Amino acid sequence: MSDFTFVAPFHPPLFPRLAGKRVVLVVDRADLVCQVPQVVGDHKLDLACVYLRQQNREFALEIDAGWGGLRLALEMPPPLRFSALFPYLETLAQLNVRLYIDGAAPGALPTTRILASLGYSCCVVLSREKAPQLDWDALKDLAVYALYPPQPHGEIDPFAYVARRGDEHGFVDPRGVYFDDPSQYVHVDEEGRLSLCAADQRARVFLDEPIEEQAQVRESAAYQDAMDAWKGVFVEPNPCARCEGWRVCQGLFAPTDGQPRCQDVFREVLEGAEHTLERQKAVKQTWRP
Amino acid sequence: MATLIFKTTQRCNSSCAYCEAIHASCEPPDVPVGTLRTVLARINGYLLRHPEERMTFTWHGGEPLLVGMEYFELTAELQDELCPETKGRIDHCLQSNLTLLTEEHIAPLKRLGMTSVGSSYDIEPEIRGWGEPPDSAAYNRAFLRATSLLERHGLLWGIIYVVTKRSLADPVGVLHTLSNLTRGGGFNMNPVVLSREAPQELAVRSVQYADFLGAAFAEWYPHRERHGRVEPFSSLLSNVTARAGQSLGCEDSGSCAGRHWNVDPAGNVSQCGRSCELGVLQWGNIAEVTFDELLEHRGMEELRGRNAALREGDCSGCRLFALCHGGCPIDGYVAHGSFQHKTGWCAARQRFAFEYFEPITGLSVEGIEDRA
Repeated sequence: MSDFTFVAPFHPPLFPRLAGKRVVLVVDRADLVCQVPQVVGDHKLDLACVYLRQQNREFALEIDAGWGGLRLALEMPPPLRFSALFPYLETLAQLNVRLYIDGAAPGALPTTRILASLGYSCCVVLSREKAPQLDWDALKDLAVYALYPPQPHGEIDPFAYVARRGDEHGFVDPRGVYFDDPSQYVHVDEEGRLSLCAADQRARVFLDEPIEEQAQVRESAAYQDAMDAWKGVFVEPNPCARCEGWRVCQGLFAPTDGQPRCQDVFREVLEGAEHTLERQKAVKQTWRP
Repeated sequence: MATLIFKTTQRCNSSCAYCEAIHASCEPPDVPVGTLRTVLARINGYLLRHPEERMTFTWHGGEPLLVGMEYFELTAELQDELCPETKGRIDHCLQSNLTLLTEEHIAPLKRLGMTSVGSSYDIEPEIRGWGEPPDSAAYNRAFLRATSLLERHGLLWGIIYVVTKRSLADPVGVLHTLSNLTRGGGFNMNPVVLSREAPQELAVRSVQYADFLGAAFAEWYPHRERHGRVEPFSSLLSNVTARAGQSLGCEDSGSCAGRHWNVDPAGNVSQCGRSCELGVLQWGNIAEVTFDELLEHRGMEELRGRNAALREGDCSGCRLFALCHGGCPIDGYVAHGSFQHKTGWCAARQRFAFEYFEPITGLSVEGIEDRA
């Protein structure tokens, strides 16, 4: 299995230890983004993307067309109204950017659809904690739009991710689109301590292995437990286990209030993902010289 | 391919509500090493005389892991000693509840050439487990932990799910659960078989089982790539598509006579695990007979004549015969007191085939080449 991708803060003392490794650089200040190419070159980082957090609590985007082709995951601050976004569209169009949008935020889902229809790649951020506030009907509509496009539009994750990353039976861990799939990503803090996911890092649950021994992580009991966690729904009766859509959501977004409004959505996502794959298979591949 | 069910032990660490195995005290409780040596020697002799044959050696019980990993290691050593020319044609497989599987078992299992393990799983709580009422959560944790261990070591696993009365309310939910758990198929959905002495609250009737399968099949068939191999659907579809009964399980093959044996801890040889439990179709003791001598046992004649008897009798004119052959002879015996009668599950098979399989697939089960 390949090495992990490190989700790391923009913290210069870490960079020498990450030399040669694949990284998602998490940046809290927009003015640091322009320093990333230099950092990547100096420390020979294999940059997966820059994840730019937005600190503003009133909507404002700090973006710069000068960032060019840098792969950028842009966290969109709420509330997300298209009218507020409009002044930034021209600049966004010049960036190699995927917009990360809190799915439970007011206005998020309709605005996501508009952005995608204009060609912007978007990723709806879902979580179990915010699932009770989510407009599940609107999410289902968005999933259908994402996977059965009447016209070409920007990708909408996690739906597009699920469609392209599912195995032969459609199973996929959707957390990869949020850089939080422990089979692919490991989170590192400013002190170089590793965690298998963002929640572990927040809870200060760290692995024994340092960055330099990341290859040993896959042999650790903590990693094995993380890989087996999906089986937890089969211990006792659980509505997730019986759900057709489970293979594309793994129960990760099930509302904590016990109301399985997610089932209808992810059933649709599964069907849509299969439809997408069938459509891709049907595309005739012509030889190329 | 010949099959030997090796009833390693009568002991079991679980108490599944529907288990057919009679846990009466049996001496010896485990197969002694001397009997194991004899079994391996008999297998070697059989395979030497039949160079075209392979032997599937199925570890069964009770719970076979109770004998300890040393027993598996010893078997590998004895196989090397007693079957030097034929061990390459002995295919070991294991039927286990997996709750006792540890890291230490893996090497001996692999040394015996095992690549997959058969097990079972109940969705509904308190059907199996430890204590009273059965702690099925603790049991399931142990089972799931073992499946992870198998996966880490590249071993495949599949499950039998027993359809009981508690399954009937949500057949599609059962299908999804098993499909989600196995991540792409690898499970059988068999009807519960209860002895007359067992509590009957889990019993299902033929019609109920057929309707359960029908509802699940209606979901499985259009999404069969998604769900993967599910029995009895996959085999039936494969055979009907091929227009030949080419891959039938033992109970449908019509050809289990002379190619299927069970050895219990006392060395007694019978037709299969179920015949062993019922005390029927008993062929003698492995210490005194070879597998070739068993082929000539006069009791075999009754089994070999079953297909012809059914064609003339119970199954005359049945469109399903080439795919079913009257079902398991033991089921025929349980239902009618004779092996010359069809399975008591006939109504289920016919109802599923004619009311569900044919309409849903548009395929006909008629005119299938009988290869029995």
